[in-house]
Amino acid sequence: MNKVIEAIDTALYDTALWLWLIPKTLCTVILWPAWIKDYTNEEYSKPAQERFNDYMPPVLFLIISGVLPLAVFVDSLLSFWVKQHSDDLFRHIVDRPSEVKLLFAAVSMASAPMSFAISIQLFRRGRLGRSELRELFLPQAYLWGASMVARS
Amino acid sequence: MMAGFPQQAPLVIIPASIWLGIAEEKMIERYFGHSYKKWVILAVAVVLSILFMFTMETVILFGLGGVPEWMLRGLSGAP
Repeated sequence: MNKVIEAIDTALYDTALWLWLIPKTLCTVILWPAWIKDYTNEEYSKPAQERFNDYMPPVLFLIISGVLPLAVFVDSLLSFWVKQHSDDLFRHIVDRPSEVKLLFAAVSMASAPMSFAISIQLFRRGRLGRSELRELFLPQAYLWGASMVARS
Repeated sequence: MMAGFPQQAPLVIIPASIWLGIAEEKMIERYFGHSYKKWVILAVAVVLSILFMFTMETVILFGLGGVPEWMLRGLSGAP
C-alpha cells in the first residue's frame, strides 16, 4: 500500500513540477536555441536518474508542448475549414476517431525533428543508428516543441 | 486570404516559423560552422520531412482509419 501511495505522490509531484518546468524550458529554448545542444549532450553524460533535472526531458516536452496542442489546433482549424467547404478532402481527416488524429499529429510532430537529425548526421558522414541519432534528435525535439507551443 | 481560414492564424504561425528557421540555422552552425553546407542541410531536412510526413500520414489515415468511403465507391464504380 505504501508503494502505491508513494507512486501517486511521485506522479502528482512530477505533474505539478511541469507547471514550472514547461515555461522555464520554453523560455530558455526560445532565448538560447543553440545552447540546448550542449545541455542535452551534458545531460546524457550523467547517470539515467540524474538527467534533465533542471528542464523538461526533450521528448516529453515535444509531446506535451507539440503533439497535444497540435492535435487540438489542427482539428479545430480543419473543422472550421470543413464547415465552410463541406465537400473538401479534409473532411476525411476530421471524421476520423480522435486516436487516429492524435497519432497523425504525433507523426507530423516527430518527422520534422527526425529529418533534421538524419540530415545533419548524413552530412557529418556518421552512422544513422539509434544512439548516434539520439544526440541530434533531442535538441531538435526542444526546438520543434517550442515552435509548436507558439503556433498553437 | 483563403476563405474559411482563420485570419489571425498567420500572425502566430509566421513569427514562430521565422524563429524556428533562425534557431535551426544557429543549431546547424554549432555542428558545421559558417559553411554553405547549412543551407544544403536545411533543404535536405525539409524534403525528408515532407517525405516522412506524407508517407506516414497516408499509412495512418488508410491503415488505422480505413480506406475512405469515397475511394471505395470510386474503386467499385458504384455511384
